[in-house]
Amino acid sequence: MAEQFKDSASALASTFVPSKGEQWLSAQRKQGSAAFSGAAMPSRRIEQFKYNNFNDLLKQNISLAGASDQALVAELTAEIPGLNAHRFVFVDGVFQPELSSATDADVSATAFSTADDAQQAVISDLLGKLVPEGDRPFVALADSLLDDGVLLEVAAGADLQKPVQLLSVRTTTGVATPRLLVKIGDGARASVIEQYQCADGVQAFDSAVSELDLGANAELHHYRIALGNDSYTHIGTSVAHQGRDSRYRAYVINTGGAINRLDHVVDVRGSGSNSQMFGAYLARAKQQVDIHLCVEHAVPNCDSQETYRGMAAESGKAVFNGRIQIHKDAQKTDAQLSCRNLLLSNKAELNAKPELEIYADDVKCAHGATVGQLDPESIFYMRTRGLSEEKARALLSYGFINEVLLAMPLEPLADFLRTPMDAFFANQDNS
Amino acid sequence: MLKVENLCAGIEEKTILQGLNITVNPGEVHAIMGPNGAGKSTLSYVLGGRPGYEVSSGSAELDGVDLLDMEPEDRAKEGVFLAFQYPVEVPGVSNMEFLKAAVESVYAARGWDVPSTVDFMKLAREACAQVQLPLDFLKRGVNEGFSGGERKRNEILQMMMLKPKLCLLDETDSGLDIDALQVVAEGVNSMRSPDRAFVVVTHYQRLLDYIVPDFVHVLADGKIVKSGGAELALELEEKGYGWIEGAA
Ligand SMILES: Nc1ncnc2c1ncn2[C@@H]1O[C@H](COP(=O)(O)OP(=O)(O)O)[C@@H](O)[C@H]1O
Ligand SMILES: [Mg+2]
Repeated sequence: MAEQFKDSASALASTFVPSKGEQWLSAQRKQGSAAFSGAAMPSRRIEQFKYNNFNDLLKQNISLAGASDQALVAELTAEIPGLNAHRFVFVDGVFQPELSSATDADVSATAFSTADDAQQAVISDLLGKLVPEGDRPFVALADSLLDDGVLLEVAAGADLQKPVQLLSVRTTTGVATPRLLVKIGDGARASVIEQYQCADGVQAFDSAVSELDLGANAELHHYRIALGNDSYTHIGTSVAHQGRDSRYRAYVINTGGAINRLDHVVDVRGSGSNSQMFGAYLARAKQQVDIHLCVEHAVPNCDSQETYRGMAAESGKAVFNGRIQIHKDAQKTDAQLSCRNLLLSNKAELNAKPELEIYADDVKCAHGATVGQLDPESIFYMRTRGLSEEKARALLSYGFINEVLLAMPLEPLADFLRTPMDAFFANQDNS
Repeated sequence: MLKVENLCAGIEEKTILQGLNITVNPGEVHAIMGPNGAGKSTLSYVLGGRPGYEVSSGSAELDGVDLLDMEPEDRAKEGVFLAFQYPVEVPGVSNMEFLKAAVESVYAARGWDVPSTVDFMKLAREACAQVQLPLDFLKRGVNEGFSGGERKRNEILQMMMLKPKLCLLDETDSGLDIDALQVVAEGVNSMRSPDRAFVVVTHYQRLLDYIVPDFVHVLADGKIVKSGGAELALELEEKGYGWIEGAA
């Protein structure tokens, strides 16, 4: 079964022609193909894929995304009210300059296909370089089908007043490999929204890779949002690489999806850095959501706080794996991971696992993961105020997740996300 | 308005209320006093419809409508309001969102105009001012990080917004300092009206200096063992509950 997926994807890669005909990245593609051929496909026997069921994906014949549906493009790229962002748009995996904002001295976005020599050098320096070693079949797949991605650069010292939205939408079936490189210059401050969406009923498959490089003393607020539906398979890898004294804030939202998985790596390479991750992952119906977080503390005097909320309803499956590695040299690290989960039905599955690996001796670490149900006393309290039991449950679930939305400094984005959340909590059948 | 007859109820096989009777007419304030463990909260919960409580016999009617068969939300829609002894935290749901959902549900059921968002905000701010909670409490999670006194004021705020027919206050005075007690009492007094009734459960006489009851009942061993006027509360304060329990 896995062969079907692997063979068809390998065949695609061997004849792949990038949409803009760009050739200078073909070595990267070749490397990706080789790595993909050698990679083991997901299975229950492999720890990192143990709790997901990839069968539906693995029995597919993979094809490239076809022509986009322009009506759906218009619908999915509607602006978020009040957000007022620089926007850069991918449609079915390919960067669309004509749907994107003009750039200025502080922020620039360059399509790989139009990069000049200097930009090609920057891209070559970064592309794939931030992703840590290890078995990553979906990164290899993305490399083997590398198409027209975008390099986003925020100038050193810039303090961006507007957020930057990198929006990737799917309107057609097949595989897409949206690719992002984000370079935040030394001392710069920026908010970057990396957002993935798919039209309802479209059987799309993404293998999305983003690499974010924070310069010394840079501050990045990274909103990593994947709004799934029953037909969308989104497998993403996001790597943030932190320079000295940098501050990284991540707000990760994964809702729904046939599979909606994020491998999130926070690689703390500069001392004096702080990392704060907030995340929510929600599954209902037969959806699967998964966040695999890996924080690498490689240098001394850094701290990180991780706050996650998960929920599985109906027959949904939710997975959280939070690994914090504190390497030998990372003395005085302070790492705090908290992960709370709601399991709302007997048919749902929830696996939440923190993993601490500590090789330094002078560190402070704490982690906790809990799985619980909605509190009956709270439900009764709300019902005595006239709310139906269903409304009380929906509101309590919403409140549980809303704690993550409330942490977001970008209120228009949090408001935008409350609509899919509300829909998510309404009319659940948890019998 | 409220008519409870021979009510026997309990939880997990344990009978707590053992033939309780009380009749409350519109406009009246009844105080229910009694020692700890007498069944005061049980009575509130049974009237509020808390799951897990088993009614073995007797009846409770609100204006002739049987309450005991109704879901808690339907009782609220009939005009019952229960102020909790220990109000619950609902993190992540703002007081405003919660109140708005409650107001919309209850007003629609009672046939009142559901206020527009602007009107609703105005009412909520007024109620907030009246119970002397800072306005930012409307934005905070329901009871999230509130002190005991703030939670009780928040109960009164909700009661003001929902305009119930029958208000059941379960030890709303416990854990309050004298200022908060006055605020809560003023809130209740401002809502007294000929078509509304109150059942005020309290362990101490102190609250009744501020909310003057028409009737005082003593609840012990799951029934009303003595009833009287406001002066009964003073007598209880002086002599304790022992003499009545003995008499019962
Ligand atoms: N959940 C419960 N399970 C078993 N017994 C309970 C429960 N809750 C209360 N009780 C018992 O019922 C009796 C009445 O309690 P309660 O109504 O809370 O009294 P009050 O409010 O008058 O102090 C007490 O003996 C108490 O221990
Ligand atoms: Mg009590």
